[in-house]
Parts: sequence; structure tokens; C-alpha cells
Amino acid sequence: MPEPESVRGVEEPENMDGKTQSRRARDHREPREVGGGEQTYGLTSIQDHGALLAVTGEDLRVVHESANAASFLGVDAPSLLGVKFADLLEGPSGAELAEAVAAGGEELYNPLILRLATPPGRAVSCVVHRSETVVVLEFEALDPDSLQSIVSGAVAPLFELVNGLLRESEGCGTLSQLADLVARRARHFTGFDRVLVYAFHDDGHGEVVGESSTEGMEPFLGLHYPATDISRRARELYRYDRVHLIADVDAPGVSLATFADWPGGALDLTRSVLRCHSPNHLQYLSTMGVQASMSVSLIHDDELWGLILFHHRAVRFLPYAARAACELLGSVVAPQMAQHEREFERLQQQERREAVDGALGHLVRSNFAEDIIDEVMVVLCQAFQAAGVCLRRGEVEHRFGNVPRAEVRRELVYAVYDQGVDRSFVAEDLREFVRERQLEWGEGGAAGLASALVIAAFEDMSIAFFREPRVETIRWARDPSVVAGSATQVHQPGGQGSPTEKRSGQALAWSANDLVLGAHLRTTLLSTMLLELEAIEDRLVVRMESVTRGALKHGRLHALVEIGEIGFWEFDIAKREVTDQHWSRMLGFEPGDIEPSMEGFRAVCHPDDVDRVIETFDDFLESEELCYRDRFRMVRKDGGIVRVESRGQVMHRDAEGHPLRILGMQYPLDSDAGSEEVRHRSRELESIIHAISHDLKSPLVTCRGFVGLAREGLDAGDIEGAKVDLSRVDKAAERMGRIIDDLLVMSRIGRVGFVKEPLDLAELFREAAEVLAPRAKARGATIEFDTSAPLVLGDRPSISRALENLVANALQYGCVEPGGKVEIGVERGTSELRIFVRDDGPGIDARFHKRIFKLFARLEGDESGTGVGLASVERVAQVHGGRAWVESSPGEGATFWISLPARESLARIREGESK
Amino acid sequence: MKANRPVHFLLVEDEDAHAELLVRGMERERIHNLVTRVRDGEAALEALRDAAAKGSAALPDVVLLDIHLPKVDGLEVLRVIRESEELSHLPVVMLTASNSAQDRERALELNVSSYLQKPLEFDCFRQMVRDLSLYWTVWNRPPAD
Repeated sequence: MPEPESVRGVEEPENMDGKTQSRRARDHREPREVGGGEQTYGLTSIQDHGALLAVTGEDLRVVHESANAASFLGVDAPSLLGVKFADLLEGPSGAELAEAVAAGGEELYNPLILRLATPPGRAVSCVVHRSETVVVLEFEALDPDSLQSIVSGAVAPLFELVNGLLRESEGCGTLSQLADLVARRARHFTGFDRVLVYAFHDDGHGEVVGESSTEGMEPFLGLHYPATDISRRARELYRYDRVHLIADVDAPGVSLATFADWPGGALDLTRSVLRCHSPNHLQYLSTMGVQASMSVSLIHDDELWGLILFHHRAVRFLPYAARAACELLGSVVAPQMAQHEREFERLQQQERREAVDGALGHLVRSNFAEDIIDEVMVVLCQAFQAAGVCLRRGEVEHRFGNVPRAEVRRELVYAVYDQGVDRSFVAEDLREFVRERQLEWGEGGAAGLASALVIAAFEDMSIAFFREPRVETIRWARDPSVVAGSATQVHQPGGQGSPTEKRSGQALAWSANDLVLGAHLRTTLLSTMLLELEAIEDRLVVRMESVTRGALKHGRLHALVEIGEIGFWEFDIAKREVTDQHWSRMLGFEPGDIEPSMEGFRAVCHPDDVDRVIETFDDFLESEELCYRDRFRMVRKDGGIVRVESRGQVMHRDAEGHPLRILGMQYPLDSDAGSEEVRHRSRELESIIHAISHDLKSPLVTCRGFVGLAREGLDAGDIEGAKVDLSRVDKAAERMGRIIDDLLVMSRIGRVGFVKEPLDLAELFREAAEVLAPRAKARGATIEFDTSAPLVLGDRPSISRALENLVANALQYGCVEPGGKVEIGVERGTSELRIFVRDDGPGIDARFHKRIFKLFARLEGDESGTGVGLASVERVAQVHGGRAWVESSPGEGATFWISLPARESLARIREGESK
Repeated sequence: MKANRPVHFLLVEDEDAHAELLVRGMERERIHNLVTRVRDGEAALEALRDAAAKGSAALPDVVLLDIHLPKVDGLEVLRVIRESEELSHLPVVMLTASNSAQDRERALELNVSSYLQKPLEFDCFRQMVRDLSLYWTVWNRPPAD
């Protein structure tokens, strides 16, 4: 239970608008000059169990007095103002005081026992301190009986208090154990009914962490109080006035008067031990059933760490020595408590880190799988003590718990990226944030949210955490509405009713530890993603290789079928029909020439073999065998004999296990047809494999290298450097993607959806010129094309792509300076039609004319091209039965040619049209 | 040649990224050296001829040569170096992403000093840079003039 010195909104104007509620405790604790001109808080009365005089340092003349001073000191005069204080004392006492004051160390002698001149021998306890230019003397009653105990006897319990506590505290493993011990010891020592240890958290809110009380006292342990409960000023006072007693909350205050001739201002009571508290606070204590109260400040590193609060149900006075003992206790335990708290925070932070690391690793490894995300969100929520979390990846958003409306979430994301990619953004007051951005708060489940922390991890990934308000204990006495109307209803003195009210306050502020954890989350995410990136690359390499090999196999297979090197068949057992006859090519027939039946097969099988072959095949059908295999001779269309091996496998069976369909292939054992072409084609494919493996590996080396450098950079804390390195990874990966795309396109040329149709070349020229017009404009070049070009037969997508490739190349390498010209046209020869793309650029050395058409051959060291363009142009020409080449010499520009056989041109089309 | 003279590498590499990786790798290993980089085989031969014309001191101590290069490929550069009277003694290290047995055999036929495949793994890459640098700067330092 805190000890407020002020009333909200009266002495703490910053609280009027609510804006400073989120201010950090650190701000409150900044050392400030107390006193001086700030008279607003200088309460001008003292408690009536003592009296106060302020005297000048030079001659101990009284310049301020409490109204009861003369009577308290037994002087028969209305006022002591202007009197030399030493005159009121017995000789030695006066000299002692004068000496102490002159030496400047008077506070060391506290409490001074002063013997008064009248009546002789009467002694008072005097606590002395300096306030600006005056020496403040505060008197408390001292009866002769307790004199002895103060002087000598008090030392033993004091020693026992501190020493015993130190001894026992070694066994305290946690802050709450230590706080409970302190409360117990302090209560035992002072005899108060209840002792609380109250700790301020980073955001200024307070929590009761230790408690000891006699029976019948209401427990406070674990309650939280908002930062505003104790004003900044109150905190200041606690720093200077480390122990303060309120002996009787109902006692009237005694006012102060100042000597008329005194040039200084009113007395600053900051350090007065008798100082009165605000009426509100006294009323509050009284309502709570507390008659006497004391606070001991726990100061660590010059900051107010917490308080030890003492409550008593009756009037209670504690002599100075006992109060000093409590102060000493506070000084001794504060560092220990702070140490416990730090250790606790360290462990907690470590646990949070581990939780975050584990969760993120899990998340990234699962590649953000839906079912994992929910789990991870729960863990992150707990680690960040949040009520809701929102993870955004690009356009995808994952939410968990209590989050605000989409509009607000989006605005938070903007806010964090305004701070930069590796930053975080804190909205201490989410409602305020929503107001500032002129958004709607909305009525949804987010109503209870109070604050947000947003962390930007990557360009397209951010995580936002949302906190709900903490349940705080608000004293009813400080709530104006309750004070005005229903105070008695809320509080039932002497009953079980709580004098406090639980209500939603502010959210737990985002502490330094939270921000550190946020930064950790970002770095962990980054490095986890990097690790994962490497793993993905590994998989990519494997996949790429298999895809490449698969595509090549497919390509080769396709080629083999085309040239009749291999054939496929499918046998339907019920119909006894061969339903696919790819093998017809092998024998020199066109597909469809051979009847799809056993009879058709008989017609092409060697007459000496055919019966045995069919018998063997039928035996296989009867058997349980899975694979069919046979060798026999077949007769080609031209009468030649081909020895073949045929293999088949049962693909479908009926319910009883009888085979239904058999798939098979066959290939010539000693064929000469097309073998040269096959060997050529296969050499070409080999070289493509090499080229692909090299040129795709190259960006991979780059990726790996820079990922490695980035990781080293991150380890060394060089985030900026790591970002630059990662951008290189990005570029290399992008290039790899482009290469793969181009390769795919190239591998499809002549294979997938290849249809020859009549094409208007002039139309294709115009399209190519249009597509590349922006690039031409950027390079200050013009594109001209032949508008009277003829029709040709060809595959529209591939010829169009080849043209675009050539024009793009001409612009890139042929139009180095502005004013360049690219010309697209056509020349008709007798046997072929030649399409050209011409530039007037620097030209190409004859040495490179052949090489540039090779896959991945690049003339420039630049990395803009993929090295696939010209290779695919050549491929397009080849699948059309033509070829591609370049004519150029240095300084003379370059002309790239694609030839198409003449029979593919107009004449053939006309012929087709006339049919 | 003084013992502490930096070892001069001529790096022939068309990929900026690989060149940077290599140079940064050497920097991290704190290896005292000097790297001159050219982007294609033609530029490499030009640089070597220019250096040879200025006398042997101007020549690099080691040539690091990629195979797949614009204009003139690495194997051709190696062939020219080996056939040239003033350049044939130069240590030439092939440094390539190619894993083609053919490239390797061809390079060996042309008396390449060593043939290194650019490793995918970053750690291996670093190890390679370290070994490469140490080998040519410490263990196999060209004899002093």
C-alpha cells in the first residue's frame, strides 16, 4: 500500500491529460532539485507530537517556529521567533549544539539529547538537519525512562535486527522470500500490526512483494498499484526522507510561522521528520482503519526501488533511534532485493529467449505450416506477456488471441516500417494511437487492448504483440465519483469489505527487456531463416538436378521415339489389341499404317518368329510373371530385317488378379537407322547438362557465400553489412530463377504444344517491336520492321519469342549509344526464307560467332543475361528445320539470322489453303 | 623480393559476386596480398602481356582462373600462358564451378598448377580461400629474386 503525498490531478498536473501515465519509472526517478522555488508542495504544518524550530547557522536565532514550539519546550512566551535558541538550553547542551552547527556536521549527532534550561534537567530528543541557510531542529518527547533505552539499550535490538536479517537472508532464494523476511523482522522489531514490502516495477507501477501482519489485518500481497498512485513528487520525498512516521492520522497539524525580519522565504519541509501528510492520504489511511503509519525508502543505485510500509491500528510513536534502525534496515536490504529482482529478471529473460528460439526454429523449419503457427503464436504470446499476437508475412496474416481491427493492425505495420526494417515500434497507449491516426477503434474483441509492440523482421514480415490492461487496485478514496457518492457503501469499516477496488488500468508497459527480446526475436528469425535458406538451397540443388535429368531423359526419350530408335506399345488383353504403335516408326511406317491388332502385328513380325512370339506372349499372360521379355525379328517397310528386344509389364489386373493391360517398349538390337543422329543428340544433351550444372551452380556459390558472410556479420552485430550481403543473395537467387525459367522455356521448344500454323511475319515483327519499344526508348534507339513480310508456317509462341530475344539482344549489345537502330526484316531465298534482326552497334568479333549460340556462353562479363537467349533462338530455328547464325565484324554492326525451309513458307500455305 | 612483400594474385573472374567472396575471404583471413581482377580471358591475357613487357617483377605471383569466361575461356587462357615463353612459368590455379571431368582433364593436360572446384558450402569456401592463400603466400612462396 503506497503512501501518497499528493492527490491525483492536484499536485501532479501531468496526470490531468493522462498522457504521462505511460511514462517510465526511470523518468520519475530522475534526480531533481527539490525545494527551491517549488512552494506548491511545501506543506506548511507538522504533526503535533513534536515541535519545530528553524535557527540561523550563525547565532542560532529562531526564524521559523511551529505554533506549539514555545509550549512544547516549556517556555512561557507566545513565540520564540527572534530568540537565540542556545539561551533556552542548559549551558553544556547549548555549547554542544553551537559547536556541532559551527562544524557543519550536526546531522551526525542525531538524535541530539538537549537539556532545557527550564525546568532544569528536562531533556528532549532533537533531530537536526539543514535546509538551505537555516538549521532545522525538530523536537520529540523523551521521558526519562526511555532515555536510557535510547542511549544504550536500543543498540542491541538494532544490531540484532540488521545482523539477524543478514544472516537469515542468505537462505532466501527469491525476492518474495527475502521481502517476507524483511517484513517479518521489521514488524517484530517495531511492533506495527502490518508491514508491507512494496516494489516499483520498470514502468512505475507498484506491487506488494512481501507482507507480514497480525491476525485480522487484510492481506495485500500480490496487489498491483498504478504508477500514478505515487506521484513524482512523492517519489522525490521518499528519496530524501528515507523514513517517515505518521504517529496519528487524526491528530491536527500544527502550522508554522516565520520571523518577520527573516529575509528568506518559507521553510522547506522536504526533510522534516515531523512533516504532515496530505489530508487525502490521512483520510485514506483512516478509512482503511490505519491509525499510525511509517514508510522506509528502499533506495538502490540512487533510485527509489521500493518502500517498506508500516501500518498500525492504534496511535503509535516510534523513537528516532528505532526509526533510524528501520532506515538502516532499508539501506541494507534494498541492494539485496534489487539483486534478487535482477537475477529473477535475468532468468525470466533467459526463459523467454529460449521459448522464442524454440518456437521460431519450429516455425521456420515447418515452413510456417498452419498447425505449427498456432502453437508458436501461443508461445510467443506467453514470452511477450501479450494477450494477442499478429504475424504478417507478405499478404498473409496469422492472428492469435486478442488483436485490434485489421485497419489498426495495418496502421501499426506502417508505423514500424516508418522506423526502418530492423526496428520496433511501441504504442504505449493503443487508443491514443488509434485517435492520432484518425481510425475507428471498433466494437470488436479488441476493446480491452491497451498497448502494442510491433517488430519488423524483414521487408515483408512483422510481428505485433498486444497487451491488455493489468488488473490494478485503485483506492476508492481517490476516485472522485466514489468519494462523492458511495464511499460508505464501498467501504465497510471493520467488516470484510475491501477498501480497494479492482479495475482495469494500464497495460504492463513494454520494458527494456521486452524490447531486447523483440530485437532477439528479429535476429533469431533472421538467422533461423538463413539456416533454413541454406537447407532449402540444398533441397533445391537436389531437385534441380533431378528435374534437369528428368527433363533430359524425357527430351532424349522423345528424340529417340521421333527417330524410331525406341517404340512403345500397350496391349489390351480382352480385345487382344495393340493400342499404341509408337514402334511403327522404327519399321519405317507412319503411325496408323499398321492395324492395331494381333493381325497387324503378324504383318510386321518375321514369319519364322511370329508363332513362337505369340505363343511366348500367351504363356506370359497365363503366368503369374510380372515382366514380359522376348527377342525377335521384325520386317521393315523397305523389307529390311530388324532384331528387336521387347519388354512389357502388367499394369492393370482385374479383381481375381488376371492381367488386363500390359505396357511395353521395344528397341532395335542392331539397328543402324538414326544411330548417328542419336549419338549427336546425346552429345548435345551431355554438354547441356554440363552447362546447366555449371551455370546454376555459380549463383548457388554466390548465395552460399553471402549467406555465410551475412551470418558472420550478424554474429558480429553488423546488421547493415548483413543486409547488404543478403541483397546479393537475393540477386543471385533471382538470376537463378531467371535461368531456370529460360531453360524451361527452351526445353519446351518443339516439345510442348508445338503446332505449326500460318503466321503473318509482318504481324510478329510489329509485336516484337511493340513489346520492346519501352526498352528501345530507354536506350534512345529505334526499331524498324518490314511491314510486307510474308506468311510462314511455324509455331507462333516460339518464333515470337525468338524474335523478341534477338531484338532484345540487339538493343542490349548493339545500341550502346543513343541513336542506335534495330531493323527487323526478311530475305527470300530459293530454298529458304531468312528472317534477320540487324543492329548498327559495335559488332561481334568473328571468333565468337559460333560460341554465342551455345548455352550459357556470354560475351560480356555482365550478369544481366542468362546465357540462354541465343541458345533458344537456335533451338527454335532447329525445330523448324532451319538454322540460326550471325554475320558481323567489329564496328560494322551485327545481323542475326533465322532461316526457315522454303517449303514451310508461302507456297506450302497456299497449297494448304487451296485444298 | 622481400619476405613481406604481398603476394600478387591475378584473379580472372567474370562474376562480381565470386570475386568479392574471394577477396573478402582473404581479407577475413588477414592474408597479406594484392589482388588484381579482370573480368574475361581476353583482358587477362592483355594484362599478362602488358606486365611481361614491363619485366618479370610486374607479373602476378599466381593466376586464379575461372573456366567459363566471356570472350576467351579459361582453358584457352591457360593454353596461351603455357605456350608463351615469358608466362609459362606462372602458377595458374583453376577456380571454377565446373565439375566436368573433361574440363579438369583438359586443364591438367595444360599443366595447370592446381584445379579447385568452387565449393557450395560457405565453410568449405572459406577453407578453400584459407588453404589457397596460405599455400601460395607461405608454403609455396615464389623464390626471392
